[in-house]
Amino acid sequence: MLDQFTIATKGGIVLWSKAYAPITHRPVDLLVQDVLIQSTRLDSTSSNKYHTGTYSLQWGFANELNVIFIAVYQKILQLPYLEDLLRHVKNHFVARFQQELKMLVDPECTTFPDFSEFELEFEKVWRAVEDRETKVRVAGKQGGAPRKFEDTKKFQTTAKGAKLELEELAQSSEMNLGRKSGGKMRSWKERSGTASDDSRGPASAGKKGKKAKENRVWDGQVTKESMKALDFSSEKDSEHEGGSHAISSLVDERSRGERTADGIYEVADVAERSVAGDSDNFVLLGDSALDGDNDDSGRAGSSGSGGIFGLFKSLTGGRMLTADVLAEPMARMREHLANKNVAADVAEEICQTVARGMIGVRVGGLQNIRRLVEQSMETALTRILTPVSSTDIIRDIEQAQLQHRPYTMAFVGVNGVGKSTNLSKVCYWLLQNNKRVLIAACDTFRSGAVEQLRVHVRNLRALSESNQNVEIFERGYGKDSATIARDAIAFGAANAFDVVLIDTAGRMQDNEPLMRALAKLVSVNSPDKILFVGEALVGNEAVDQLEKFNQALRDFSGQSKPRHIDGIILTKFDTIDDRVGAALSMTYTTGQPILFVGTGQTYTDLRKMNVSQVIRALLRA
Amino acid sequence: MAEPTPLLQAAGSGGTGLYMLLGTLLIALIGALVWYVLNQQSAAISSQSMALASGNSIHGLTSAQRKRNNAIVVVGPMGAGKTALWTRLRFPDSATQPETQTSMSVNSAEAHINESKAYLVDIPGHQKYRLDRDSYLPMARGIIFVVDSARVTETVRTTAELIYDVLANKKVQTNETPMLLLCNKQDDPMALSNTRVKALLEDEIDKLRASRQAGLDSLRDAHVAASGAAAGGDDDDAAADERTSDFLGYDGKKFSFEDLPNPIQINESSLVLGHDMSGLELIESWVADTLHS
Repeated sequence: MLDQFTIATKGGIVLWSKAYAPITHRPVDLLVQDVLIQSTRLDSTSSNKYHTGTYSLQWGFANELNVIFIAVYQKILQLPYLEDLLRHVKNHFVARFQQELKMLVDPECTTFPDFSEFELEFEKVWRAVEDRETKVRVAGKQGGAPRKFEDTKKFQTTAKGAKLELEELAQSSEMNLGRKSGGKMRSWKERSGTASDDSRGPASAGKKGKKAKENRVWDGQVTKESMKALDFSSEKDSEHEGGSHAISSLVDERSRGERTADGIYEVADVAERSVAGDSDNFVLLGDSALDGDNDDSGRAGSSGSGGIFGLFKSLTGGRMLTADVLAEPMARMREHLANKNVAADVAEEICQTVARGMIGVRVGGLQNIRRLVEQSMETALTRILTPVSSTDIIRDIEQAQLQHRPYTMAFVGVNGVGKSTNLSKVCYWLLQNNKRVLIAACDTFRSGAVEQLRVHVRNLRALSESNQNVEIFERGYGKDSATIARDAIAFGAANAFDVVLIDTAGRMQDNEPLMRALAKLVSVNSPDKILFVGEALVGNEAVDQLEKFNQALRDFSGQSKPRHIDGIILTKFDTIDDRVGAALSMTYTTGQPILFVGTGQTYTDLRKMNVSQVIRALLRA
Repeated sequence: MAEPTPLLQAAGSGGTGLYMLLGTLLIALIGALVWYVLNQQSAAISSQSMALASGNSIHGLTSAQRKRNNAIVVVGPMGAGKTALWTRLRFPDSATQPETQTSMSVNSAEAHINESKAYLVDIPGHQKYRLDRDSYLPMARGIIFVVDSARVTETVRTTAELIYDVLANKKVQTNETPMLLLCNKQDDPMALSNTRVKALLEDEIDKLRASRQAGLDSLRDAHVAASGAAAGGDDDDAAADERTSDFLGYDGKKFSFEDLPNPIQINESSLVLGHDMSGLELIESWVADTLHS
């Protein structure tokens, strides 16, 4: 089942860990490095799941304590109870080791607190969660007593069920619709009725006299209240309550869950109850136990006011950040990022990640939450934009020189983003550093592309008197670009060139034949760096371009280890003022660094990326 | 006849007005005081908890942390043993040594080392924490650079790059911050001795130095935002970035750690508990010496 369970601080100190099988390749480290630190877009859509080698990992945070819980198991297994397990282990661990966790941050404490006794408790929790899971599954399959057909989900799909449901729907909406004939006085009555869902009807009519003036509801207008009355999905809360109080009833009744008023059968929330028939009557701690003493302040934080005492407490003791509190500043932040030309879904995902990292954090009452959000956002953006791999190309070239082969760079991208222009700028920079450069004219499609490069070569020769070592390798138009690139590299190797720059034709990311040709060029020549040239002007399109290019390189390569884009050149950066969002979108989508930034029309207008400047521009109001 | 009355009234109302004024002032004063106290407290809570949650971000450093003059910063590539060293120094009386894994936030705490108080900072080795590292280096009294001696041959390029970045940091150069180069994991049979590690790193830094000089200028603020905002601070930053590519050692002479103004000591260590030549005493005495000098 489980191979390993680890509880560690975010600082990397393992508090408690238990391996149930020998673990190889340190999957936990890989998880931290690949997912938790990188914070780039994952390939898999499933959140909180990471696959490496033969392992799958799932994890949970306790942000308020700076602790992370990680479960490692074999990839082939399906362990549906892991979410539950992580949550319960967190509750138990936090409740049990509150003292020890405080010792960790206490400067006077010079011994490492002992967490080893958690093993017994962990196994109990594990067994309890697992047992319950099996019970639910068994009950779901056969049940103690067979369920009535009317209780099953299938019932609803049958004609009779559907009819019944319709009737129920009609019943509940009848009053709201009845407003049409009733008029204003009548609609008041219903609205006060909808507040308490089950006692809907004339019973609540007595309240109407006390009501203050309300917004007028025009006939036929769909109000929030009437929508709420029709929205049965939000009424589950009361059903959950029912589930937690059902302990006293029969076993099979309990495991069967509740049938909701609108006829939807749902499995009762298992997490809220103790396990029936568990040998030692081990009781799992509910979520409410997690908050413990700070329950009040948490509530005060979410509801905004808890009387004058609650207010004072929240001012002095601090309050916990909840999703509700963060929603508004996060929405603002998302909008701000969108205004800076960050792609919409990238902004959305980054905001979600930041919010997830802030939930549960305790803040002082007078602290401006928006300010805190900005701080966290800055940290997150710094992480995203800081490159992981080395951006020192000159050093890479020297490495290639040692192996007596030319260093190859392919410039790819959509039409008109400045591939050839920036290729010539890179070429100028390399010439300044005394490298011998060969330019391979592999744009055999657009007329004038080869001539353009020839002019560049002439200019570059004229510009750098000391270093005339630049040549163009061309085979005219209409030929296969992959072969030309291969010949160019062979020519470069034979004539002791240090670098081969491959210029490719611009192509739309949706044009499949051209993307196939690009994948062929890459797989035939396997260049050292595949540089994606992208405009800083693009917004939402940036994500699509990069994803499609990466996908094409992956899908059409026919290799077991397909290549991907290794770096980005961001062009036309001088045209965008402080709307630098494309830089963020592109790095976030690929996880690859921005190697060069094009800032003008001359050969010297090539710059290195400056992360702190870009972040400052992004967050500037 | 009518004149004294309004005068008296004015005087009377003036008197109450004065009292009211005084009262309002007093209330305002108390209010301001309470507000100030609460604000201080809440700021403290927030900064503490935020620091916990996100690791100290660049601007997450509180002013108290910035002013510390006893900071020892532990840096190095991933998996070299920085966190292990940090826990050993932080919890010296422990009978057991906790395991460690890849860090995802900065560890920092006060610790007593040989009768002196050191503020130990352990910065994650992952490249993404570069800016965190650069924010801690200026206040460092001493830098401990941890190297995995068993794997240094494979990782020499990244290690050298890291060491270069640390040593080329403007503040590290002006403060001549002493550095302890720790060749860790000497218990590993594959481990290289400190002289071999030193030679490897010097070779690599020598190459790196040349390619660094060849690098492009970094983006100036003028290109990020054409208008306004080119305030003094921004220029400073851009300039500071420029200066990090400073040349290490002497031009025309192969790089050697001895050429640097910073006192650099190269030690061997092993953090496995019970190892007879752990080198921990040497580290502790180096920390104490550095803090006293």
